Amino acid sequence: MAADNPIDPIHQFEISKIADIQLGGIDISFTNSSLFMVFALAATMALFVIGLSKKSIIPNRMQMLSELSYNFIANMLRDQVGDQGRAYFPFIFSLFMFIFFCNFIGLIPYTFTVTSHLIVTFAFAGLIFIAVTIIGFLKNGLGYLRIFYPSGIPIFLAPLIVPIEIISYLSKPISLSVRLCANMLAGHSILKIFAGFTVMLGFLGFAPLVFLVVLYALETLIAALQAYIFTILTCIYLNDALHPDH
Amino acid sequence: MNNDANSLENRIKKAKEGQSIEEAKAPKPFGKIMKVVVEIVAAMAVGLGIGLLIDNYFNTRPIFTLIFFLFGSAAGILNVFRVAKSLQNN
Repeated sequence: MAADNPIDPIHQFEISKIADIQLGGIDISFTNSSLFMVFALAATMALFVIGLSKKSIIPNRMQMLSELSYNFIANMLRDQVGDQGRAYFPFIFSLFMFIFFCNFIGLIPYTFTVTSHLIVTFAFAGLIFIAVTIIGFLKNGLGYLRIFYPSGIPIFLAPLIVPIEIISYLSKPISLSVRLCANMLAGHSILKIFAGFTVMLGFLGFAPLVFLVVLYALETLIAALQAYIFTILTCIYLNDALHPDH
Repeated sequence: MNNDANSLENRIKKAKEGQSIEEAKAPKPFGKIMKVVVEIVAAMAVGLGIGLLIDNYFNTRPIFTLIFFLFGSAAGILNVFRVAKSLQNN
């Protein structure tokens, strides 16, 4: 079906191999997904290398952009985690910039949206989940297990509360990854579908075109918002691990 | 000329600062709804998954699947309460 229909909204999510690499029976090929991850990385580095190459007191646009993003994440981390969170700033900041650029590069026509694949976002969320759990146990010892049994709960409710709290804890990486992936997938599909309408309707296509422009603005907002939500939730999980009593 | 550019840049800077702060403090309704729905579904899925694993291991289907699905639903509601609380605090 996809072959004979030139307008295929799902085609943009297809993975294609650029360089076929096999290592011990495992497929580690360089795909278009990997390529756009490299692009996101390059864009992040370009922003900071170019932005901070000329350190002037009155900043130019690039410098201001890099300083604003730095301040934005630094403030978020301080608000959510406090001074203890400063050690994790490099990770949180890289995470935000990478997801931000992945989302934004995906908005350019003929590109590939890395974050529209669940496995990519789940790899992020799973890594964060494991890291946060290890940090929690390192900082609090076995006392970290208290998060599964909140204080002030009668002992006879424990068999009910503890499984619920454990499931709630385990659902964190799933909700984190599904949220980002679903937003990107749905948004880009809708954009492609309306673009398809515009082509199919010919002269009458201006109506979906107007809608497409509005949707595109919404998608730009969502791309930034989802990167922000992913990062702030990481901060919240980190805070839970560092201060389990609150 | 130079003065003009400076004032423009300052205005852009101010506008940008205002934007980022507003976005940070109040997520848009769409984002809020998306957040809440995903929390419920994720917790249910985890509960169902654990239930199915236990049932497959002990061959007791469907007892634990049912129990853990209920636990998962409860955890979903709990998640929603926590998200709502954190949104209110912000």
